[in-house]
Amino acid sequence: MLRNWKVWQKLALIAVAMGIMVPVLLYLAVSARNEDIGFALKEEVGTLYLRPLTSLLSRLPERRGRTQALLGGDLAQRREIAALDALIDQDFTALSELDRQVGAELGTTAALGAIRQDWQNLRVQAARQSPEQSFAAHTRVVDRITTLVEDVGDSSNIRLDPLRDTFYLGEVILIWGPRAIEDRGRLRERAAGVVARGQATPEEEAELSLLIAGVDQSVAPIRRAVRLIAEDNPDFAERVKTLARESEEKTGTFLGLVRSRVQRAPAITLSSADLFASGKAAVDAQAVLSSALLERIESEFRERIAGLSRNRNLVLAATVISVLLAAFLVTFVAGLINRQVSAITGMFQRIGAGDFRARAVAMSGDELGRMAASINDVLDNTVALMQSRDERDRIQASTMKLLEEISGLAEGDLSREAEVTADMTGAIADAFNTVIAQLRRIISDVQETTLRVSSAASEIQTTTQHLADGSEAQSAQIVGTSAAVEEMALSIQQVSENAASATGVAEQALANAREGADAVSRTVEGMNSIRVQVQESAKRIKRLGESSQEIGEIVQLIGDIADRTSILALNASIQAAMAGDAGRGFAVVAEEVERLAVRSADATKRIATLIRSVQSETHEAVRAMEDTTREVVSGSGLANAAGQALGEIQGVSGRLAELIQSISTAAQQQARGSDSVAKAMGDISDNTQQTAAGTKRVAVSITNLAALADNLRGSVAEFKLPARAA
Amino acid sequence: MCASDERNDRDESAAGRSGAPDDPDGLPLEELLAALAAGVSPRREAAAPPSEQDERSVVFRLGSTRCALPIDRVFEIAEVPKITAVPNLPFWVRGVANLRGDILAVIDLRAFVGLTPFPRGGRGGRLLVVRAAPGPLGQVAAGLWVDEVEGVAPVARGELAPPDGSIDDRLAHWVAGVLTRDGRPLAAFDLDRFFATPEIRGLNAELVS
Repeated sequence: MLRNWKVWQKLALIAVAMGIMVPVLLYLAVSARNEDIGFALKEEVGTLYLRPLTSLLSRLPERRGRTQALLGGDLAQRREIAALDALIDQDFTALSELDRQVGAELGTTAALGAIRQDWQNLRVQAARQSPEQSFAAHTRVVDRITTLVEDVGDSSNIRLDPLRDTFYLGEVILIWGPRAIEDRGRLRERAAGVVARGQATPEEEAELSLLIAGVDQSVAPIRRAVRLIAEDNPDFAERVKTLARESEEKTGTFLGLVRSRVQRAPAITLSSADLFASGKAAVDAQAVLSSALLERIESEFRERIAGLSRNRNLVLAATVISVLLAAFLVTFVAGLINRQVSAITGMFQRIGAGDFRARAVAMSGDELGRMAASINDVLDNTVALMQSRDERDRIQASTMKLLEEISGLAEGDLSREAEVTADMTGAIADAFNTVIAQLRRIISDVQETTLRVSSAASEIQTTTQHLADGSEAQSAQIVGTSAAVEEMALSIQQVSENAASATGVAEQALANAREGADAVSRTVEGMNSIRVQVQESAKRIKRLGESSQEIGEIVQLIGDIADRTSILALNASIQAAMAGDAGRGFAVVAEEVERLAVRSADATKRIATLIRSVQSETHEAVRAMEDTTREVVSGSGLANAAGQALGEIQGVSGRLAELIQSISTAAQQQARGSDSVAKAMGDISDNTQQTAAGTKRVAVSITNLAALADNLRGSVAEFKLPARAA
Repeated sequence: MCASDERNDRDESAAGRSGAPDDPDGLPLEELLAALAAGVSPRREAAAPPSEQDERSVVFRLGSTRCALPIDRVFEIAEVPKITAVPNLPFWVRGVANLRGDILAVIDLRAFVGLTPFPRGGRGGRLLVVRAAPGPLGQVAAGLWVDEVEGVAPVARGELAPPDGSIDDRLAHWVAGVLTRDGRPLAAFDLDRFFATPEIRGLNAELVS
């Protein structure tokens, strides 16, 4: 694929490949710088945090000492302590403020919170505590702060600092400084306590020895570190050495005072305030050294950050400028090459299209420019050669062509023409062409005329032939038609007669239908009267049934009466028996009455049976009559339908009769008309036969004319004409 | 039933006099009325003259058995009245009825002797109101619910034979004797034994209290 690309595209590809690498390298360089900057920034944060912590480290021991003195009875210390507390509070406020900003980053928030808490407790409980408790509480806070200082050093990278000039600064600030301050402070307070009481217990003696040894030991590492610091930071060397020396001197004085006036003295004559002042001077000198170192390290970090940032920005700027420059150069060079190459290829394209005058422009003096100039020279030579040979060939060819073109003329071929050219054979060709054109016009006129005559004759011949054929066919058809017309006249006559007889039949049908309709309507009337009578009978029979029902009810009543009469008669018999002989006659009557009652009951039962049968028969009769009524109704419906059908038949028959009558009339008229048609047909037949004879004669004379025209065409056919004349 | 048959015979004879067909149901109404009129005329020869030993008795039907009861033990014959059921009584005591102001225990005699009881709520049959003792002095004791009262007939004590297979076995215990009347057996119902049974005595005591 790459082979088919244009030159400028290949150059662009190289530029892109370079362009991809540059950002990667740039990223690597910048991210390394950024990491260094982040590292230094964190260190700077650490130093900021350390500043109030260091201050606390010198102030808290002082407070411890003064509190000891206060508890020992020196009430003058109260004011001093209050001033000190205010300063300590300031330090804590500054610490809290810093911690809010960077506490999460350094991981100090929890530790600082605990220290603050301890400090608050300390303030609250100070008055109630024994000197020993107070000392321990202060010491605990100081220890915690010391630990925090070291933690901050770890988490803020100061301890990991990779550069020598700041490494030793950090060491003193973080480790040796705080320890030295604390050791001196502790010795100061213990010694001051011993001085205040005027004598030392053996335990205090031991402790003092231990503390003195600690202070002594702390001097040497600081001295070494200060020496190294001075070597690495020449501009700071004088100052740090002075401060260190001062601290050492103060410490020496203090230690000497303790050794000579407290430890080894047979009696303590020193005032506690003097001792404390001397210790304070030693502590303060060390604190000043520490804070000076802290300032120094801070400024070192700041400078380092600034340097790194400058470095990074420089790399960025240099990279961007070089990339832009490279891009511009690639574009410019590619443009130059491209323009020269496209000039050459353009020229070749034009030559390929036949333009031999095309030349390339040499734009540059490099290989491509020189190539364009050489090609131009080659083309100039080639074009000169091609022109002289062409001239000679052209004259020869045109003469040959003219001869060839006019050679056909002798054989009568008028279809070709000589080509008229600009050279000298052109005039000859032109003269030939004039002659040929005149001959061609004459011949083509003759040919056209004969063709027209011939075709007209054949058309006429065809037409007359058609005419003759048509006349004969017509004549035959007329004869046939005349016979058909006569036949038709006969059949129409017959139709007319049949129609007349059909009229009679239709009238008969009409009369019959009328009679039928009358009969049907009479039937319907009869059926209606039957229905009315049957319904009347049914009503009467129903009334009879109802009456027999009433009779039944009456008979039931009689039955009840008979039943009761029977009981009455029996009771009468019983009463008669009660009456003894007197009732005997009555008993006979009662028995007779009872018997009659029983007979009445039997008779009523039989009447009831009779009435039931009468009722069931009545029901049957009523049902039969209802059936009859229904049948009569359906019968009269049928009869009505028949009547309607007959009415329709009557209408149809009437219309039929009228139609037949009109057919008969029309048939008679047609019969008359067909006779005259037959006569006219005979006349037409005669005329047609005469026409046919005339037509045949015309055909013969036309045939002769056509033969003449054919002869003439044959005589001019030998001349050949161009295709358009035919 | 016998009495009814007898009457049918008379009806037939009446129909025969009128020259009507044998089937009485097929008679025209006029002829039927004529037959009735004939039946109504007094016919003294039908009632046999009572002899001294004969006891006039009320004949009633209980199931398929004709029974007789001396007429002086019968207070009244009535239609079955409206019966008010009374709890905690034997099943054959159908309840009490108000007969013209007298409260009367109604005993289903068919149930009592062990035949099929009268249908519940039915009013068919007759009520025989009987006395505890003969004659006008006998107190009204109970209403006996029977199938039908056929009439009054004389019963001769001397003709009575011990009950045999001609009557229903379940009635045999309550019958004093059997005689033949109108060609069919007629059982003399022993009312004293009926009243002597502990159940009836207990019932009376209970109803009276």
